Amino acid sequence: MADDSRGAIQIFRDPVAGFEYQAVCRLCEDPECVAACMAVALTLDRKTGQVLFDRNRCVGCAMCVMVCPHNAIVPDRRAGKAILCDQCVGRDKPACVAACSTGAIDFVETDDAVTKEMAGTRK
Amino acid sequence: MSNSLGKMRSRAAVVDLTAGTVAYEDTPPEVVRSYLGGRGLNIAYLYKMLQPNVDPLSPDNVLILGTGALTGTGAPNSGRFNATTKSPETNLLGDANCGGFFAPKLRYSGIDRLIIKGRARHPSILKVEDGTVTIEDARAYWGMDIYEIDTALHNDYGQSIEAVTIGPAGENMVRFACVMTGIKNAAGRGGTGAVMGSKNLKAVVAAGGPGFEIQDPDSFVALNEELKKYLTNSMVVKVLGRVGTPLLYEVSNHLGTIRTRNSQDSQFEDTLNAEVIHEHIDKMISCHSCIVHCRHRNTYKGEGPEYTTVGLLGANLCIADTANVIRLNNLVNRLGMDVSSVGGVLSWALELYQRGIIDDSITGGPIEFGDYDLADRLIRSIAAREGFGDVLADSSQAAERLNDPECNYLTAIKGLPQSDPHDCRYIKAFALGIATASRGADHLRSRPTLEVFDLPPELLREIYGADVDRDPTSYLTKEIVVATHENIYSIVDSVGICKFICHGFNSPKLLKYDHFSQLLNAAFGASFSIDELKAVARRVVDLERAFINREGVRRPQDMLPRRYFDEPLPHGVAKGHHVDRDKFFEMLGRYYKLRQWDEDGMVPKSRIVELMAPWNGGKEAAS
Ligand code: SF4
Ligand code: SF4
Ligand code: SF4
Repeated sequence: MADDSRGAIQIFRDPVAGFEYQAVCRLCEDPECVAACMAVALTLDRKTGQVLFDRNRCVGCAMCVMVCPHNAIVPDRRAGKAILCDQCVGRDKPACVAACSTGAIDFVETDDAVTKEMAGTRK
Repeated sequence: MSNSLGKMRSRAAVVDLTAGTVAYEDTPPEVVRSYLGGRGLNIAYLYKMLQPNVDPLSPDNVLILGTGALTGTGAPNSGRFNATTKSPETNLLGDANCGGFFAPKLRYSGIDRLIIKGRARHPSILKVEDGTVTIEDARAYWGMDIYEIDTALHNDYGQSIEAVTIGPAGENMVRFACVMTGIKNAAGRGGTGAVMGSKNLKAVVAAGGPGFEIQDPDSFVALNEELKKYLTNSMVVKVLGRVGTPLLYEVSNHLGTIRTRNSQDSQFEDTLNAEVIHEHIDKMISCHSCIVHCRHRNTYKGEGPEYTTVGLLGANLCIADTANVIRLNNLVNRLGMDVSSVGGVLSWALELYQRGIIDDSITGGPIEFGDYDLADRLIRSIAAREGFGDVLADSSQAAERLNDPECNYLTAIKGLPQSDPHDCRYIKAFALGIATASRGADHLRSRPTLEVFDLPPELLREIYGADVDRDPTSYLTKEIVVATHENIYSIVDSVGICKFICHGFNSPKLLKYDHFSQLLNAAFGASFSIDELKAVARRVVDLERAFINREGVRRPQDMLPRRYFDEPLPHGVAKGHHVDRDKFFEMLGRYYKLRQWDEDGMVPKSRIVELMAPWNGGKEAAS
């Protein structure tokens, strides 16, 4: 379905104040979303630092939505599930990185963990 | 054999604000196939629904907000819609294309096209959500400017909504008020915002809904990635993404064709060059799905300026101070008006005063070129319809009151002030293009530049299907050039993609018919061939012409501003050039012939029957 409100990245814009905020999963070291999920739909892969999401287990309670400090989880009202970044496991390159025309978002592996680097609002 | 539409659908909501009712319909497949969406489907509806000679500001007028066939699919630069109506500025076709973020949201909300008629009893808002339109009270919002209403609607309806709005100018029915979205994106030309104001409609809020289906998302995403690579390689795309449209200012200035002092001059200061403008820019931003990002966030709490603004609020008013021109840009946007008409009408008044054709008795005091404070004051008084501003708010229709009944000093065609800051006395294809543009003097219907570029002859032949004259001052073959550009732009406007990545808009590359067919077919599993899209293009151009024919346009209305014929350009490369009346009319005649219109510029009756046939399921019987 084409509908940008059900994307794992949400952009909040306020043209009057003059800013954009990119709500995207930052792969927290100690993720609140994982701690909050009672259905064990969210788990932390300690080796890679990735937060993994099992959509089948998700019951749509939206606890994760509420605790994520980065606004990175979207509730899908229609499906009754959470929507969050799955780091495009299985793709060469995350879809967002492939689509971005400015180089604002990239996906890089660092020594200790997989980290998402993003440039926020740039001058 | 007609082609398949696959999953391509178009749903319309017909809102009657007088009765307070909403009806829904799926646009018949044959009509979708023939006109696609956006500008094309809008004119198909407008032609069918509107009686001739309706007062544009009466409840009988119809305002259509229609998304393009690819809008919101994620195709490059596909965030656009067209606002189409009978224009209160020209009493002819009002049709304007607009970017921003509203159009995709409207589609995701389950409605592709809003058709609005009647007049609400009190200020109202339309809210679109989950495929349903509701009419809500907007009395609390009436009087707000564009910035205020955008903030208020996001606070009240939620941060994730998108909206189109009008400002004070629209409420006061200034004849060049715009429908706007965000704080700068505008369906700018022809007074669409005045029509909205006449209907007592302050805003349309799109709040979200079911979205729509893409045939095969993986392959569609792959196609878009491929196109992104192809497009971002283009020089034009790179430069536009860095400094935006003001890059054209320097080009026109160098040629001696930048409209200055109401076209009495044709060269101006370099304080309005793109690089200078750029020192006042915070960052470049974009519309939905855009890979170009040509828009500026300036450091004076606003967005812009575009080339049209620096030309028409700068050079044409003789205001050279960069910051002041940007401030005027922000003010005009905040009040919700078309910068092109504001600049064109103001400079007209300034010259009339300079020549003593009008005096203090109407202006209320001296008015002179180069006066920033005066421009600021007049702009506010236009939006409020106060004093002299009330006269100027009527655009070309103020001609009698301004003592210039023939509009001898207004650079306009069909009553619409020219949007392009480029003086069209030099490049003859530009002159023909603004004369034949269906909405009046406007460059976004054709603005052909390719034939004068240094392109290999074979490539030119491939683009135009004929050998064309490369001399910009020649009148020969320019009808072919103009028609070719008009055709492809009617497609890009109908699929809801931005002209800046369309073939022909300053580049021989970018998106061509084969790309549009690939995109439609991949998104919806449709089967549009290149030839079918070319046929759609001709239909849109012909039906718009039939519409303005019905409202009285004949050959004499395809007339350039008097000055373009009578006064040679004073400066630069273009010095001494003007348009020759006889040669111009010969060129126009060749253009009609190419279009298969009659000598008076009329679309033949048999063709109109053909154009309306899709409404009867493809049969031509009922006319
Ligand atoms: S979803 Fe939110 S809480 Fe969870 S890892 Fe990502 S940023 Fe952290
Ligand atoms: S919405 Fe789904 S993923 Fe989020 S906390 Fe509830 S069950 Fe876990
Ligand atoms: S190129 Fe400019 S106008 Fe076109 S879609 Fe992108 S930002 Fe909007």
